[in-house]
Amino acid sequence: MENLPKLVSERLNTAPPKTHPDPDLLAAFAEHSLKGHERAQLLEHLATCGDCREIVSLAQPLREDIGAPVVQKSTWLGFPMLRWVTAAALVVIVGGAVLLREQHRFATAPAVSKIQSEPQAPAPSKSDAALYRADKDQVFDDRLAQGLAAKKEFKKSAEPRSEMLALSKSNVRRKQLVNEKKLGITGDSLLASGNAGRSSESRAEAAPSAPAPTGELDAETSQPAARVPSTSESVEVTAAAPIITTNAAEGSKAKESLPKVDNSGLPPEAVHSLGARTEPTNQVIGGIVLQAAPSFPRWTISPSGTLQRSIDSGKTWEDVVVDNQVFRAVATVGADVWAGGSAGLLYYSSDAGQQWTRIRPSAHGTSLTDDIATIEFTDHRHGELTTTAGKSWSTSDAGQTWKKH
Amino acid sequence: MANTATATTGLPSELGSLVGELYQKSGGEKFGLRQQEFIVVIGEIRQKYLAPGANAEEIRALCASLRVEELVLARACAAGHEGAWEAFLLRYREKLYDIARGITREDSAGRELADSLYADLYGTTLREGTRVSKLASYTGRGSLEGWLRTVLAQEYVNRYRRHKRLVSLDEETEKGTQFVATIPAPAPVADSRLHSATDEALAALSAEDRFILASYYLDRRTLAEIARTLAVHESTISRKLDKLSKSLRKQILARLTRTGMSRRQAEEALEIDVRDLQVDIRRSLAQDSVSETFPEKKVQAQAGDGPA
Repeated sequence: MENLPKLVSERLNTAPPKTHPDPDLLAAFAEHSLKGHERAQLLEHLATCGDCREIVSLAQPLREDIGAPVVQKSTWLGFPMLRWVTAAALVVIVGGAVLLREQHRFATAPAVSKIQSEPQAPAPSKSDAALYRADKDQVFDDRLAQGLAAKKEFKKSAEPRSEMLALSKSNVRRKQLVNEKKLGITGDSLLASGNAGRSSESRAEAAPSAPAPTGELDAETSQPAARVPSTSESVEVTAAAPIITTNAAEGSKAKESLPKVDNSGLPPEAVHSLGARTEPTNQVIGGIVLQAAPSFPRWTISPSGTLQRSIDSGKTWEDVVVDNQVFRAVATVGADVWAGGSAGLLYYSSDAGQQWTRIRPSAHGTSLTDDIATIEFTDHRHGELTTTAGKSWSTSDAGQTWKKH
Repeated sequence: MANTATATTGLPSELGSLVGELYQKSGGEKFGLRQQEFIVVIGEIRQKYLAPGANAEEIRALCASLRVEELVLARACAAGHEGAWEAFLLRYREKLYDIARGITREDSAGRELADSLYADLYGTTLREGTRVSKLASYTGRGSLEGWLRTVLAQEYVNRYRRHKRLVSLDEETEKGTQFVATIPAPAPVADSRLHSATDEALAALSAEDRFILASYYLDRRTLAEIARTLAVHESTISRKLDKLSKSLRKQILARLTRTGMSRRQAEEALEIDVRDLQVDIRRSLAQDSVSETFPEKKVQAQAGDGPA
């Protein structure tokens, strides 16, 4: 940092003004609750009055990291924000590209099923797929037994190299078989959606014509391609796309990784009252449900301490009056909302602000009576709030019990 | 009733319902504060902070921003309400001691500071036969805790200043001030163009920029302290200081060249502050003439002259 010439420092040190702001204004400034004209006036005074600067500095809350939420000015073009915006844009672009690719693949699914319906390449029906899976399982078991036998021999024989090759070969085959199993399942579901006109009986009849996967390893590797020549690509899509779940029960694992709409805590009537935008819209493509993440309202606090909610991404805000209380801090995790104010005032809503519960944090017989300055929740259960007195209170069970730090 | 009271206190009648709501929220009833008295208090605060011609919206914003619960508690304490004092002591007794300790950074001094404030808060002085409590001046603009912290800080600064004025004889001897016999020669007047150029450049800055400069270069506050005061990140302050220093230098140079100085002359005038040299020379001369009692202190004093 460049040093200022002494002259500048000296000229800054002008005679202090004769009148000084009252402690109320200095306290409000220290707590960052002065706005606009009043703040500018006080800053003007502070720029020339060393005593008042000293008082404001001493009147700061004890801990360094507390106080009103830090307000960054013009951060939209600042480096930290730009970095996050860039990262978010990249995620959106990559996500969009993947989504478009998936949609394109699913759009071609009916054509695939048409090819499957031709007698030269009969597609596996449900029973066929079951048979196919059973055959594959048998082959898999056989190969596993072979592998184990080879392992035993490997231990005994003096030529481990060739045996190792056989083992690795069997592992490769094992992976191929697993893929083929997936192929059988998803090929079936694709058929069910894309070729609904075709009866299951006709497919069952066609099943015996499919050659059984028996014989040597090299001969088997060509079987799946001959059996369902054109579905292998579409099968990979369903297996690889993590955000897409089918209507079948097999997709339950993938569903678990998605935010569940039912568990969002928004009852149907609440969702209705919050507007249609809050309701997640699931896209259905070829019988496959593309789940959209649920969107929750945004929250803020007005300068007068009123809670405000926006259901249109911040375009418009509506006041949410909670027992006519004045709030200073708010935190949200999904539909869970925590709002805090002076004298330990703390409210909690589990349904995006429809119903509120007063929480009275206490630890070791001491109740929270300080003014709440900030609230932070990392998930539904774990959170921390700090007070203007420099203390922090944390919970790890969604506010049931608290620890004072 | 509320409307009549608002009319007498200068509050617009349409704010009657808001004031009523605020009174309900404040819980004034439990401390024996009637709604009319509450309206009078709000009227006083409005007169203190807003111009007479303020519109209803400004008054509404001011009223809504007030910490009415704490305001009522403070006013009830000032009026001597026993329940209010109990509530006040329960909430702020320990905090006051903590804050005072934090300010003085010493336990006994902190306790002494807090006790002296308690006396003022209770009201020891009498005006026309009535006890005057400092709490009566709280207006609810910030939190009561923040106000107490500010009042303690004010008291501490005042005490420190009083203490500085009453320097003990031992300290004077240590400093060697009583042996100063010669009156220092008046510093030569620097080029007035440099003064005016600096003043103009500083005046062109915003109040916040001047506050940052003064806090950093005069008060020697850290970046973190200034950042905390202004509620921004300390890297923002660092960048701002850097930018301000460069911009100020540029502005002063530009102004000096406009007054007829060459670029080189202007740079020299800015870089070499004649008075700094004078001070050093004077100190050096003093060192030569006075016996070397505390040579290390003089070295420290010289080293600490320039800004960090």
